[in-house]
Amino acid sequence: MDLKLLFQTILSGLISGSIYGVLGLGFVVTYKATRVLNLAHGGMAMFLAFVALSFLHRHMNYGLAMILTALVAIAMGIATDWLIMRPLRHRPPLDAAVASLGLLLTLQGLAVIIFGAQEKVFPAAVPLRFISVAGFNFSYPQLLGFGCVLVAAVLIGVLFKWTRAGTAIRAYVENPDSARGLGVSPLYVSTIAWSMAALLAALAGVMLAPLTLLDSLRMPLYSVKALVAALLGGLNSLSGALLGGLLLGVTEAYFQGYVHVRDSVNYLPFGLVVVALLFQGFQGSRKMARAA
Amino acid sequence: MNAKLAALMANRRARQIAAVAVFAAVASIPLFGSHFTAFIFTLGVVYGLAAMSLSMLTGWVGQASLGHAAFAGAGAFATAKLQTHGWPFLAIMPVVVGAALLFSLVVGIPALRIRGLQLAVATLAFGYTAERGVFEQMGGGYSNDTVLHRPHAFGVDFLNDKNYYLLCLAIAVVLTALAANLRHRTMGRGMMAVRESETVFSHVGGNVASYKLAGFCISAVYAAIAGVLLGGLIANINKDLFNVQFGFYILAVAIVGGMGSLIGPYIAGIAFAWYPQLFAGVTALQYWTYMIGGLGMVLFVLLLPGGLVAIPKRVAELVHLLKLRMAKAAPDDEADDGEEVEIDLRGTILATPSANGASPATTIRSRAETSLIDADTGTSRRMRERQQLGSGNGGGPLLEVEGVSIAFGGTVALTDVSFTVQRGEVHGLVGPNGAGKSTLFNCVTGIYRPQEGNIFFKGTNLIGLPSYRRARLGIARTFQNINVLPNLTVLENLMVAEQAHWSGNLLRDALGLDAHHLQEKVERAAEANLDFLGLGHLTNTIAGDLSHGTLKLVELARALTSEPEILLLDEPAAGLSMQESERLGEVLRQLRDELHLTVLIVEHDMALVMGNCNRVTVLDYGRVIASGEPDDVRNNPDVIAAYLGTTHEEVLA
Amino acid sequence: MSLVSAACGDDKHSNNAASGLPGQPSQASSAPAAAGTPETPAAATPAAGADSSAGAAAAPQAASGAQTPSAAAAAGNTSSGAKSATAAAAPGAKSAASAGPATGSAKTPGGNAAPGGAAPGAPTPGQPGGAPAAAAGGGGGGATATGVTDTEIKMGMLSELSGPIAVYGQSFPKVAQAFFRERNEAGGIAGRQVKLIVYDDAWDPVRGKAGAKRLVEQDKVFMMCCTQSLNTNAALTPYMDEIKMPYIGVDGLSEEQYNGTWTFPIGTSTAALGELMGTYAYKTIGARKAAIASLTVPGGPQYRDNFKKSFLAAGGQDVYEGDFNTDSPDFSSFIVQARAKGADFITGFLTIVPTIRMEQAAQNQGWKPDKGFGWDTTAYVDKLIEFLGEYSNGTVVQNHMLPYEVDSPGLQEFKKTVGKYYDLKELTYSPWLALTGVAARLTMESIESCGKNLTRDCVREHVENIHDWDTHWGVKLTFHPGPGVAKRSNISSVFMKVIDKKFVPQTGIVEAPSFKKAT
Repeated sequence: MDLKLLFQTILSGLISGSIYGVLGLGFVVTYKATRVLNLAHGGMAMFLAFVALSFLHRHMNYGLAMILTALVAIAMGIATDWLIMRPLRHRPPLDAAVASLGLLLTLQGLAVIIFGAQEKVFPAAVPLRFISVAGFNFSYPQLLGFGCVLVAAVLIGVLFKWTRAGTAIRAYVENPDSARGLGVSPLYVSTIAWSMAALLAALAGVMLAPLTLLDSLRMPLYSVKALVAALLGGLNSLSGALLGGLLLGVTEAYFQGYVHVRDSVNYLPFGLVVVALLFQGFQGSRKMARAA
Repeated sequence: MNAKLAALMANRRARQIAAVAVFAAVASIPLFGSHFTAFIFTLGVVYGLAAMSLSMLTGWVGQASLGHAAFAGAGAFATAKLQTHGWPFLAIMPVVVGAALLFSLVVGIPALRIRGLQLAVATLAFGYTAERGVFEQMGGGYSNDTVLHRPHAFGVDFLNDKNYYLLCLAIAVVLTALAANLRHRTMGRGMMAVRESETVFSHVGGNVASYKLAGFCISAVYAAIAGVLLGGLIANINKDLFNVQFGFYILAVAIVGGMGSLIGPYIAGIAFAWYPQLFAGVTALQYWTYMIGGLGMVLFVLLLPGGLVAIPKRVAELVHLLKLRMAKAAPDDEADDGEEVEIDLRGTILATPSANGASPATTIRSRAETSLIDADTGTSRRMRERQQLGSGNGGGPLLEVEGVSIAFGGTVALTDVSFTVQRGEVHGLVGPNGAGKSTLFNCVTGIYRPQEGNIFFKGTNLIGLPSYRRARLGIARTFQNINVLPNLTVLENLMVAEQAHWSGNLLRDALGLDAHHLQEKVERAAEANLDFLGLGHLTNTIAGDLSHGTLKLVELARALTSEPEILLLDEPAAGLSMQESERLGEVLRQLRDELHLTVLIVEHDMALVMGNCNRVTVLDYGRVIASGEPDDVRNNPDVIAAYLGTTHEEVLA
Repeated sequence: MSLVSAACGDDKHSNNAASGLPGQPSQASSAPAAAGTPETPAAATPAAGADSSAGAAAAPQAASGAQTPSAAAAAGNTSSGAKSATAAAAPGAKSAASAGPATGSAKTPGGNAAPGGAAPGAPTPGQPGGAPAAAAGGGGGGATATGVTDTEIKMGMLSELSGPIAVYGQSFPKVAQAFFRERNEAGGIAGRQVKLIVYDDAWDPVRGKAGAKRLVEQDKVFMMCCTQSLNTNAALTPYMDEIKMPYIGVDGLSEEQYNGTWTFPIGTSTAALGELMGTYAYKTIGARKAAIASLTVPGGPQYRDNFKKSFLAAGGQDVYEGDFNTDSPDFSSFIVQARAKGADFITGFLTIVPTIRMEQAAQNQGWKPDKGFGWDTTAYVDKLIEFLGEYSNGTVVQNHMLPYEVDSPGLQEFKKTVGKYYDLKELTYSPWLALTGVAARLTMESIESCGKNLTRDCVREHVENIHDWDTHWGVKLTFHPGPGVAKRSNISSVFMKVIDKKFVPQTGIVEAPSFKKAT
């Protein structure tokens, strides 16, 4: 087996995988903190990428545009939380999921109305140059994308572990009642979680857009696999989502390259889920079983 | 009372007639419209059927699926494939059902390990794989042989849209009627119990896994049939027709219609089918319709919990609220009867005599008569067994706990616990908080599996048996934290106990052929038990509306309805008043003396334990420190040191 | 998610896009149409559509407005039409009320007309303008078929106004509209104005079929044309046979469209395109090892199979059929594998976005196949160059006819006609844009050939017998009666290459040999 080829294949898988992972993180954050399956996450990523693009089109500095986009993202997260998710707090979980589906359609419609139906080129933050290592080409945008994922993962980890908000969320997730007793407001937790999810959506959108072209309908589709990635981590583990994303991305690339059965790659999402279920169960379900 | 009832019945009959009339009127609209109208209505009915499958799954079994489009696709592709081999439409239907069952087992069995939204995402993965993998392999619909031909049967040309509409409508009506029938039978009640509480369900002898799987499979079959009908409507099928988005779409239809409802999804389905046509003639509005549709969906979910079918209820609530406002504005008005009744309903107390005024003794007799009896002998199997074995002490060992140890991640909960409960006795299990009493109960009923030791019941080793099997052997329990099915009525809560006796046939159940007399008997037994515990007037009250103390009794009544041989009561007196716990003691004695039940009771109320137990076992830090007659135990120095002798203050210190 | 609704072609001159006659000062001006033959021999008029909704709708107006000479003319005209309706009902047999067309139509409006005393005489439909117009129009040929009146022909079309390829789909109705309007302004076809009704199909067969049903059953169009929606046309082909309605000028990409007897595709099928690309890649481009990215939309597998067959037959060594997935954020693993297999040429039947992303993925690896990329028609849009810049140089694409880069009579005509009503720069260009114009022309010509006596059968008979019909874009179309290969009127392709960020035609019209008709 050609090692170079294998390496290149895995690299390509890691790129897809890191995007699944970042999108998956966003699903996990809201699911973990508020038990909402946010089907609009991909739509938020798409919309925020359009927002970033419209800043860039005003000849704004890249960094500034990203910061402004982050602010818009936080506003969007808070608005989603306050206007939609809070009123649904005590309702069956599928209600919130369907409301988020409505939000997805709304965002898609809005994006076309505001930004037009044309696919758009999203400029990469760095020019397309290559580093060549032992015959392999890494492009700058790829490396930057990777870097972003790593930084985001570390940041989120730090945020959850060491900041006050993060501790509050973790406490609340572990035991809502006692956390409430300690003065952690569930509303505070959900606001933090939704703004964090929106930030992650913005990151995923801005990472994805240069790779895929930006249009309103397709980007949300990637979130199907991101959700599967998050599920591989039990739907409530941040590191699990990231690893699940990478696993899915790499196995996909491997199947595309080495398993010559037509469409075999499309059996992967469910195949991995079944394997995970049969051999281990998800973290969450094990925990649940113990708690029962 | 009777007049009221008659009026109620008449009212119900009138409403039924009205409902049928409205249905007939709405359903016949397409017959007078164009074929296009018929097409859209057919589409609505098909969406409705697909959504109904989800409505059943979520509303009944409490499972969620985002991948039901795959089952619809499976049905349609299987039909198209077989048609190319010359199979007639009707002959294909059983195959479609089979394919759906096969598919749903493939997903359902691994998915038994998860629930809720995790399951939703797992099914989403399945839907994706089915769309891109399986259907793709079947040609993806992009060849000439994936055309689904409408049937040509009974001399009717179903190519005619109106005929096809009638066919779809008829199928939907039949399937809905079957579902409605199922809902009011053992299977349906069981499903709803699973949704409400898997723990309770397994503890009355219900097999949670098989019910979940059955719910999933039924709903998959319904979705597959909807898929076939959709395929017939469009003719050329391809994988995009049954993609992941379609799964989302029908979920939205189901939510808008009202989860758990059988009619709502159809109304919503027709609305969803019509919606895109509303703006068809308006220039360049298409992306506004995305947005309006999306916003509408958000607002709908926000403002109308329970979906379309809940609108009458919401209106009634509003009216009620307005009335209350008006009543407040005019304080001189007499408090209306409804209010009083409500207080009555919620504030039941134990001492209340049974509703029909019969004495406890007669109630018990009536209970014995109406228990799950063989019609000829007048006694149930278990009753007979119990009577043959006599009552009181010395009936021989019924439950034997032998050297049970269990630890949770280093924390030892039980160490080498052994004791025996004799047939016919009331056995107390006491000890300070954290002594391991509830853990032991959980080992006996199968929630925990001890790492060491054995538990024998009637000589059968229980270790390794699932909860529901233990319940069917004759073990019933109540819970320390109340565990009732809050959205069901009291009677329905008790009816769940039929699981202990039912090993029925789904199809016969749906058709109403099966277990009819079982159902009636359980119902009579449940009513008798309610009367016995003084709850007779609460039969049709929603359990969630009742007070804590009352719910404890409802739990007890449920446990009794499963006709157990041993009853495990976990702190039944907690939260009861002095008077109430005295009455509880009386009940305990009646259970033992008149029903010949064996009782194992965990309780902190020492008066209750010492006054009513034949024998007592004391646990401390997971070990048995004493076992014997109440008086012996009371005087045991270890017990005094560990528990009884120390005053509350000393314990706290 | 297809929650989106249909809409009509939009139109910068008028907000009444539902009508194909914007800018027309109402119906009265259609008088020139009526100038011709004042009376049509009633017996020869198969008034299958006597029950058409148009008739019913117009009834009250006619009844209230025109009691004078026109009423008599109208009465005579339509009642005789009604007599023959039953006999000629076949074309409209599937439509709702056609069970009893004659009586049905006479009765409904009759209720309104009764006070005026013109009871049995169903009105001449479509004459809201008043008596004089009605009188003149009475001779226009009458309601010879569903959707046809003296002055109007209702035409249906579907387009992807929303959904994944809405960017292109929104332009198609404008082109069709422009051709019809130009003709309408010149007096219409045999005195009748073409009224185009467009609904959204959202690239979704369910919506497509619903739209078609609506056009046929509710709007009661005479026929349908010009739909360039791959996803929908497969589902509509059997439907058109079922209702016996001509469906002229559809995209023709997928094989299903050739199965019908009433559907007339004018584009080249993916099967033919694949075969052409296979030969061209080997012989002209010089490719030896090709990689093909197959998209599974209708037509995708056929492109792949036929490419492979002809490429290998020409002498190609190897074709790598990569598995790739449009939902993947990154296509690079396909490129990685293609490189590993030593591919010197990459091809595929893709929509525009995957095409661009495929080249981008290669660009991201700093690599380009030796012989470059070759895409089917769909990639022929300026987007490819716009997005990829320099990198797109050398990419080869196919077109069904002469491209916009070649100054053909078709292009002249297109610019003249469409430019009259729309800003040409606002259109999104794709090969189907030109095809839509051709479809509109073919449709109008077929209708015209029937003259006053317009029926569906007549239109079909005309189209299926056309021989070497000039599209004005270099390709000549020939149909034969019957389904299957007989309907394959276009097997041509023109290859173009991106040179200096411009498409430059490399060939004239070339034809796929194995799809040649045995004439």
